[in-house]
Amino acid sequence: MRKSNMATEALRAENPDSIEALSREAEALKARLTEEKAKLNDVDSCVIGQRLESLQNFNIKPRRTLKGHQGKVLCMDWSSDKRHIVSSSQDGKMLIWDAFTTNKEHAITMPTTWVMACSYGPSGNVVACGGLDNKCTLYPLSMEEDPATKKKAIATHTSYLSCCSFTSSDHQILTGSGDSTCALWDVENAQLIQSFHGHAGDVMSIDLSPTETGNIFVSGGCDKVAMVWDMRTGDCVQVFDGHESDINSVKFYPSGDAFATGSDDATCRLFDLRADREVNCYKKDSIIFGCNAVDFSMSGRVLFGGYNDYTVNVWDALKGTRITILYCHDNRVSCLGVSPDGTSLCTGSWDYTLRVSADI
Amino acid sequence: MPAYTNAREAEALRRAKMELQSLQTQSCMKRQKTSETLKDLVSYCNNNLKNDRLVYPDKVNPFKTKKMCTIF
Repeated sequence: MRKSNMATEALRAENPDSIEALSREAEALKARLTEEKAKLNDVDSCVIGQRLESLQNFNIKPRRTLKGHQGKVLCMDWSSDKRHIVSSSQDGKMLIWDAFTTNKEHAITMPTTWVMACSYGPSGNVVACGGLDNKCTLYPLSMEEDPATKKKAIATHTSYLSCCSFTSSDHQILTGSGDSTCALWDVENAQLIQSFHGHAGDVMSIDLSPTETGNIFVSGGCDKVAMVWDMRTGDCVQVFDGHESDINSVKFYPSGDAFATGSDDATCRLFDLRADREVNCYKKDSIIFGCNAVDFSMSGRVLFGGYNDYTVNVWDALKGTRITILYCHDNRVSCLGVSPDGTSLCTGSWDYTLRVSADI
Repeated sequence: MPAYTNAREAEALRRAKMELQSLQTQSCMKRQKTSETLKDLVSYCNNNLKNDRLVYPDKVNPFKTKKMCTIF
């Protein structure tokens, strides 16, 4: 060992702030946390679920097919008008659909392929998207002008943009990136308000709390953990582990007290914020492919998962059982979302199409 | 503070400190029993289930295909 290295070693051994000392302390805390959490697990979710009546006559079917992308559909989002949908694709395009008529109202071409994230502004007048360009770009929608002429770059990351979501207004947007951070941006000035460091791998998905006082959001990523963040301070306030592979999707339970995850380990899970632990795991021996996207029905009773085996598994979120399987695509289901009024489910796929399913 | 040999080490130290701080915050958190929290999840769902249109469909769904023929 070289002399200088030896000196550093010696310094570290004495220093309580050394990485070794810090990680020892962290490990001890982790062990205590696991113990604390286990103590509070006084009832199994299956026991509670068993008391509930099974859901009968579940009968949702594809009602619309949205054709127009020339590549894999990677992301979709509903407009607050419950009628329009934005989707983005590997082909470098973002399309705005009227889901009732299946007409395309806007087609926006991005500078790069693989547009992995897109999001509708709460007003329904703007959309934002990004991907391999490492940017999040805003497009105001108007019938008179081409949205591309009014485009505006809001956010820049040091790696690809994996997800984005407006907060309660068009004025702020939250982004997640392959650079393992999330960030909150001011749309008007295109300025960073807060950044969120803590993930040890690519961030794949984010979701804002549906409660108005929440001020929190959840993120999931390739480090297999989901993190809950305080938007105002930038602090990670809760960490949820359990998944054995990348978390691809996170979504709050409608009450805001729990969230679901979809993972490459072929399971979906439910994590409870107040109990600070996993409370349900949705899996079957026959399901061996990863889950890319999850969303709840309006009451939270039904959890939809879009999988790599081309299916959508429909789970009873409280009983933990599978209700049915939807076969509506010819390739991976990459994204899905329940409409804001809860009447229908939109799914996007690597088969280049989106479908809108409903129970009629 | 010792002078660390490179930036990577400084970054690792920064991360370790941040993780520890986050763990300390987490261990102060007040947790509830799952028997209580799960009850709340179930009651939220039960209170809203009647209006869940993917479970109990409405007769007027916007995605219902309109019949083409009309009787005058």
